[in-house]
Amino acid sequence: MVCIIGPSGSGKSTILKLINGLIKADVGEVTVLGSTLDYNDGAVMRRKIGFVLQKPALFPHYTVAQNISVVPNLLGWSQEKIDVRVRELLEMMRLDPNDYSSRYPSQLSGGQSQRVGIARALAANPELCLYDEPFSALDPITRSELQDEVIRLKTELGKTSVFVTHDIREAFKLGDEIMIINGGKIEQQGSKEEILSNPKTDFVKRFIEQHD
Amino acid sequence: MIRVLILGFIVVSSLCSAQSVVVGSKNFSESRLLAEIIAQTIEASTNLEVERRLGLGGTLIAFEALKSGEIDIYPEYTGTINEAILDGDAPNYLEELSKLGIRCGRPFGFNNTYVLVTRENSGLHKISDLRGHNDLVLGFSNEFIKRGDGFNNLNRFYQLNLSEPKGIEHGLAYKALAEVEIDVTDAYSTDGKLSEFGFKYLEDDLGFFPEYLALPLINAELMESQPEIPESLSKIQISEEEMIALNYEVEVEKRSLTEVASEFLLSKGLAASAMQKEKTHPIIEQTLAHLRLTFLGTLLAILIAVPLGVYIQQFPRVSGLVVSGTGIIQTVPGLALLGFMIPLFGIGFLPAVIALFLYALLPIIRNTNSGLSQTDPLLIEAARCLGMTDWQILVKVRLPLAAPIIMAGIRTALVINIGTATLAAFIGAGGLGESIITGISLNDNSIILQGAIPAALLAILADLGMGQIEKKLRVNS
Repeated sequence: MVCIIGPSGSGKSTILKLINGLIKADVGEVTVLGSTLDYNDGAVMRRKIGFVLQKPALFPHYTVAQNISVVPNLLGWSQEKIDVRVRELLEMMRLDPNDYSSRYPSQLSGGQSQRVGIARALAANPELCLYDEPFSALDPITRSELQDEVIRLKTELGKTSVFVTHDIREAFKLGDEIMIINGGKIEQQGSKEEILSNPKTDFVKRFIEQHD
Repeated sequence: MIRVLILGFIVVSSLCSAQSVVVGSKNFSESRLLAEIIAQTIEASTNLEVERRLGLGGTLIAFEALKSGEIDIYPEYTGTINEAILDGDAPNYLEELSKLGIRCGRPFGFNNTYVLVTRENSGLHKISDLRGHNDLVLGFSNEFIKRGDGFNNLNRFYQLNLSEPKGIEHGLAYKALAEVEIDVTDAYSTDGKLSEFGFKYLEDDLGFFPEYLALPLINAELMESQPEIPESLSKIQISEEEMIALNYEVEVEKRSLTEVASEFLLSKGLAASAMQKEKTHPIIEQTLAHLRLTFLGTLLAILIAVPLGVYIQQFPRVSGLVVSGTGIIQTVPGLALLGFMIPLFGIGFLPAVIALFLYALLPIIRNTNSGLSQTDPLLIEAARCLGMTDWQILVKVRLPLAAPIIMAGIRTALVINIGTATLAAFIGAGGLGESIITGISLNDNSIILQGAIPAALLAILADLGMGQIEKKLRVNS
């Protein structure tokens, strides 16, 4: 898991949108999952990439189960396979399927919504999962709980993930590799230890101190 | 939905292909009564089916309907033909009319023109007697004050030197005259209500008022193919006194047109037996006709307006234009819109449905448009990130979320249309308006309410029902 961190407007979200093809690179090409992005077929490609948004942005007219099955449905899974998968994901996210499947998003707390948001992103077993500041709107306790979930999922599922945050503690807690960016440029990239022991630029130094 | 459409077209085509003589009338009781007399005369003297389209909303609607062959016959007045239809400068109206495929039947024999009336004891006898009489209070209907053959030219023609008269509502003028509030007013010479008051008619001694001889206008083709029709109609002869008495029966005694017409024809030996058939359709039938008009008009609007609203939503500038365009339609008064339909679609069911369709467009297009543009951009982004195509985003996310707002537009359209459809009776499309306009022309509140109450109930029911659907759609969003 790579954590991208930087101040507002430094280009964190832009990187995610470059990866899933929502923004087209002005120069150069983007290679994702071993192949160059084909912008004509962006929607089909995005179904292979999980995406957890800043606010969960669940569809208010769908139940929890329907929200989770969006991508499997787009991929044309059978209903039985989808039902099994929804149960599995809800259990994985520690939400009782019998209770939560048929709830609507308006009946969920912020933390529960984001759990469903993560389940929705992971539904079709994507090879790559992108997180766009998913916990920034949550209270500290819920945030910490969900961070633990992400660590657990990371070890259980072993998926490649890119996690954007503006919270350095979150980045250090979750990231195997951390990328500090500022003004669209990479200031430093490396493990937590490397960055702490050897901050490469003044910006990185100040950034670490600020958050201590 | 398709079944309703097909049903609609069957109704339309059966109306168009009916092999019968269609008798029309304008929307006041003398015109209705003459049309009923014409209809019963044809029924008595031929084997033809007669269809009645009484109460068409005005001279131009009735005349257009005759010109376009939607009706075959209606009663008209020579003065109206000259003044209102042919703009007053046709040297020979018979020739002008025959160019339009219309023939005049033989005049019925009475002249329904303007007269000035006063109380029996006023000491006035003829219009010249008014000269210089500025002590008299003149109360004239606003129409009479404005018309070319009205007060101003009368004042000049007779050199009466009278000062400006008071404008007074025609319905109140007789009472005001009887109670000495005013001294002179204008009236139609065959007005049935006049006979209640015993007023004196001032003689038009210099012959100012044009003649308003009543006669049937007849479709020229029908006149040639069915010569027995003009022949039988030419036997109808009604004197002014008789017409006043007949109008009195209908307007004051509130008797049905069918009865009064049938009695008159019996007394003249023009019909063999009395007719008792009621002339307006029963309320149930009117209600069904009303629902057919409303639902078909609104349904067509949904089929066009929702896709159009979706399509134009991508182009904000175009959608502004379309919304204000349909807004302009909305500002056209109902009767005027129906009037515009006649040269294009004739009278009856089809133009009424088209007018209702046009009225329903605005609320549906506007709400579809605004419902879609209110979708939370975050949800659209989420949908895109999950791999939905633009079409899937529209169908799976934006439309379901906009559904309550679209439904609110449909609800508005339906309720507006239930109200507007009462005007459809003016162009012979039936519905609850039939009772309402009959009641208005007979000045009979109970008949008006027979149409107005069910129409109001329908509107309330539709509003509640649609409100429930809307609520259901809104529950989860």
